[in-house]
Amino acid sequence: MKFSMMQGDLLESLQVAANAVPQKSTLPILSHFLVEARDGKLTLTATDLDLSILTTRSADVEKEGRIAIPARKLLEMVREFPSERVDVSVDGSIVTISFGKGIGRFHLVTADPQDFPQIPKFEAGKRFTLPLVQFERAVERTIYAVSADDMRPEMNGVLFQLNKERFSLVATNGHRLSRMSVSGKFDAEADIIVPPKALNQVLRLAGGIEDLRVTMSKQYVLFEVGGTRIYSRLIEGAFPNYEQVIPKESKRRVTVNRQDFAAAVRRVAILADSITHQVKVTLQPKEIQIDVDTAGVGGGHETVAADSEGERLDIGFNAVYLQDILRSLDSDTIVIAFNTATSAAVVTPGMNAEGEDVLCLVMPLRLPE
Amino acid sequence: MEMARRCILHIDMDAFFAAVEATMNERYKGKPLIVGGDPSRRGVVSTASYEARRFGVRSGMSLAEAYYRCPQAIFIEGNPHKYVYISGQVLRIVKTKSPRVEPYSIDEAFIEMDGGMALEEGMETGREIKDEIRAQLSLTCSIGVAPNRYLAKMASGVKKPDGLTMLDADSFRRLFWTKPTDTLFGVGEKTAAALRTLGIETVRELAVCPVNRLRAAFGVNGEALKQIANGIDCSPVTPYYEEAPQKSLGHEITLDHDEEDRESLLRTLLSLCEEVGRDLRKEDYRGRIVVVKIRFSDFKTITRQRALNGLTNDSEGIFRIARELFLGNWPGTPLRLIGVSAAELVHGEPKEEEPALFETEDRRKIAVRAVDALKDRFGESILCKAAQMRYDPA
Repeated sequence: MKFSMMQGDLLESLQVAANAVPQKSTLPILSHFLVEARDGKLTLTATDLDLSILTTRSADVEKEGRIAIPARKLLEMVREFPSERVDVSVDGSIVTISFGKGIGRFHLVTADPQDFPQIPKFEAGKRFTLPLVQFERAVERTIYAVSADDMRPEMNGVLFQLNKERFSLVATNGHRLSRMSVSGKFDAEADIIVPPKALNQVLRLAGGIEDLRVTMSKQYVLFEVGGTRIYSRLIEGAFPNYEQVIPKESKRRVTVNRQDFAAAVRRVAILADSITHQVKVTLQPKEIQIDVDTAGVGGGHETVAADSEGERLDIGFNAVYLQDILRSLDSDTIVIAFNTATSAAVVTPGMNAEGEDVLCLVMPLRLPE
Repeated sequence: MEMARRCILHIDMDAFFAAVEATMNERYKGKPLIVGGDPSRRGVVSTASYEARRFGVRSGMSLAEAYYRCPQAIFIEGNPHKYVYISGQVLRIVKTKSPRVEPYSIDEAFIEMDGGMALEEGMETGREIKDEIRAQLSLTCSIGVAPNRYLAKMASGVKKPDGLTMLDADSFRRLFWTKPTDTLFGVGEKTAAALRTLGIETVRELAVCPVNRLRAAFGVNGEALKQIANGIDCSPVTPYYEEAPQKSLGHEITLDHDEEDRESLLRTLLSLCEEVGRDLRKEDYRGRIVVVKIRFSDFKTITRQRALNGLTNDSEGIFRIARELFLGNWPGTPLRLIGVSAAELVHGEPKEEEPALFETEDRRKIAVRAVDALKDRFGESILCKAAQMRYDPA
């Protein structure tokens, strides 16, 4: 195998693929890139067995071939190279990487490409295309709510649902939930749970590309963004029946400026208990009060003007959950709908972007008597 | 700083299981007796009588090897209920001498005598204990008397069976310093080999080795090694009623034959996880770490663990993690033993949980509680997961 390309291009490909190289693994081959040069193109593959990334771009291929090269070393090396043409050639099991026509010359011991795991096949998979920008927005508005609890694997991913009229992403950790739906015309149906790691890779690659091509099989999903493919194992299990926990109506609705409320919550949260993150939100006519009082730490109080009618209501929240929601939204105002101090509150943007529908659910914390 | 004077006894029952069997069956007396089971099957020797030990049979040896060494021995299946009962009787006798008794295993215990008691006086108590155990239970034991736990444990091994040995720091040095390091309790083959690479062969060489060198090679355990080689040990005797919080809880099984069938191994793993979860719930513990142990047919053993984001006593959750650990570390070769345990245990109810959006979790907890209640009432075999059963088309 022998090929050459500009340092910047090579580095970009290496960085994309490196996201799938496991930090540590019992299988030594996984710490390698599978490097293939063919038909004027360089393809890099990396996998941790759950997530695989395959990225392709043009290169000057002099001699076709494939080889497995230690990933971290190659990446670190190319990162330090000057912005010049990089030549890569393989002789037996040794790969030589050089720049500046041999001013800098390095070699690395490679591994047998036959040992590299097979990437899942998708012959009978369902294929469809999604608007990437809106998919990306939907990921950003939901992914933070994913659970990290090993005991609830079905919540360790984002639910992706697709029908003829819309697609939705939903995430929850059992105490808060976020959902964004995007309406459009689609030609497929889907109901899968995608690990957040795969979605984060899509976010990384999104810039400047319009279409996200998706292929699904029973156990895998493939996202294609430009010249990069992201294969991910799906999460098995049944996502909780989230629709039934979304309150159909509310006793009280409060409209408040998102940034003002977020800033106040952020300040008050500093003094909240480091485990429960509990703050108290009090709905008063024309304002929302946020209070914190943590034994052994201190306390604080803020008032934010709000469009709020009705009786006083005291309700406890995990400040981190509130902050996550407020950060994920981009509307000027938000609407919070309450029923009681022990039932889920619903946060929605004051105005949704066209074709979008965002909803966040958060369970209150019990306030001390 | 001068340490308070202490007097600690370590009592170690002689060939306990075999001896108990012999007290209950005349035919076993004075014969090579091996508790562990049928030597044509898999398994290990739990206890061999002294008559059998003469042929080189040891606890932990495979039954097949025991049979090879001593074919004339009587091989019997153990009866744990008997041993637990007799063990309780031994503790009852010991507790008449001091309330500070820490059972160390089914056939060993530490006894801390009143503060300030001289070792000679401790010897007298040891003699009384031996006499009473012999008179009431027809069993013999070996007792070590020393100023700390470690020395007491070493002392009880000096003369066995039916020994009574006093060991202070001076006599410990005289007796053990010239011996290889693996004569120390707590120093196994592996540690001894590692010490040899540092040029340390004898207990004395370990005792005088600069602590920095040991720390570099063994981490915190390096210091502990130096301490025990010097016969120093400050750990307290913790009576049962102030039970030290349990650190881990697990189950393991030596397989009937070296097994390499994936489904069969996973089935066994599931059963082990069910047992671990059940025990955690029974004892009111939750674990933060799941550990899987794998022993290959060549006895090479590995353990792999994963920390959870929370605490659990849920068998299914434990199995999910154990399964991942197992499949990620099992190369597909035949296995001799597998085990599962939960570690970093926390006792008691968790703090009030955050209010949840979904009731599904609660529903599963109710199901688990119902199954536990059935098992409490009708025994462990009343119910099991379908996946624990072998598919048999016939």
